[in-house]
Amino acid sequence: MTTKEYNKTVESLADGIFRFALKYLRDEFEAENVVQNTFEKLWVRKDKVDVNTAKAFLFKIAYNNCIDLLRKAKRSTSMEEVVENNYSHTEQYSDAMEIINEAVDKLPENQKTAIMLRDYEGYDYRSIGDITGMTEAQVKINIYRARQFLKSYLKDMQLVL
Amino acid sequence: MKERNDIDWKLFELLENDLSPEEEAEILAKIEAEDGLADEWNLVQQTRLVPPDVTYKGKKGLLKKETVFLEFANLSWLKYAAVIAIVAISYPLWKSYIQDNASEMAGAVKSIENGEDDNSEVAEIGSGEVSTDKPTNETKEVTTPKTVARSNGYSAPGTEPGGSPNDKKEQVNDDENRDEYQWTPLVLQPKGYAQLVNESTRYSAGSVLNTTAYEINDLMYDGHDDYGSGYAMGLRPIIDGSISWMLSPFQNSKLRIHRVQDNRMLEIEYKSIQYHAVAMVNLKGFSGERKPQRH
Repeated sequence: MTTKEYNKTVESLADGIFRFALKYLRDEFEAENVVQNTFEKLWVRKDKVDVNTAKAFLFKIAYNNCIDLLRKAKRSTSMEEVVENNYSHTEQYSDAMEIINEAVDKLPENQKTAIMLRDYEGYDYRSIGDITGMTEAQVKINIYRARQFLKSYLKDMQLVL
Repeated sequence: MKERNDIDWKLFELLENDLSPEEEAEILAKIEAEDGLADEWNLVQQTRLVPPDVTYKGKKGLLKKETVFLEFANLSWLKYAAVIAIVAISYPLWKSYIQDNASEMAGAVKSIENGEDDNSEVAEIGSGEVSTDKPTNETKEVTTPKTVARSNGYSAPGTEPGGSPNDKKEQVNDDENRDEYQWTPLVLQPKGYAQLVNESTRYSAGSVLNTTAYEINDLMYDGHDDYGSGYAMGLRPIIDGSISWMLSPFQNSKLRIHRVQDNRMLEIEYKSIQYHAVAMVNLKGFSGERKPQRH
């Protein structure tokens, strides 16, 4: 990958990586750090990374970075905060999109990653599997379960509203 | 329950475009036929995430400046232009320097021959002080201008036949050593750099300038007794070739360097067809000893 190709990759994928990390971590500062670290790693290995596989490479790096950060955060999160998050539903929803976004944050990590890569970035099952280390069947079933959860959540919320 | 799961799976596959055209047509027909299934399909469609409009602001900080590689071939004319410019600038300076040095040498030779400058260090050689303080292992020779003029078949400008009385005295004192040192002319060939530093000169340089000029010696030759194939590698041939070109006016000149007075001084003797000069260099400040550092 040349410097020109690297810069093009930054222009086209930085927003996507940031969106993915932001949705995953729900922390803008941490998401910016993930983007910087991800592209730094790409720059270091730019001679070995082909421009056609750069997107998958970047999302894989970003995903692993997010996982590491979440694990660290989980270790430092107290039990009280967890309970508070699970039982507080004071937000007012304006439309189904906000409900869905709220529901995505409640998905297990595998389902969340799979459905985000599928819908945000348009990846097929194989590519998602390459990034996350899952098989194609696992990816598909995770996306299915995620959609089932979202559908149920949406149905429940509509009933409440 | 199984039938319900099958319907959910079919709706999911319909959303994911994983159904064949026949299966797709079949499930769409069912959706149209059943109101409950249409509501279900509506909910399933809402589970498709719409990417939020997020922009990463630090994009410019991630961009890298492109490295521009200039082909060396494209710069060849610049290279030659630079060389020509350097030569054009340096040649007049070099020539004036050479002329100044030559006239100074001629003046020095006249002084030596006429014994005019008795206070100079050069004159001390003529007075015989050096010969009385002769190091045990050093070859001592001071050749008079008269002798040089005779040996070369030329008379140095301003030289009187027979030389000065001091010259005669020195000649008598050094008669025993006269044939011990054979002059070896410096044969300077711009392309034949292998002969630039011949054995005798190399020996002199190596033995005399082993402190202050040690790095210069390294540039001039590789320190081996003979010039191997390694001599022709790297910058050395270029440097030697350049030095040869610079020194070409001194072709067939002779140079001798000796340590005298217990290695405290260098005696540098230069002989050419026209000139003969002897200079003494005090090595007091070039002993290689380090000054004690302040703490």
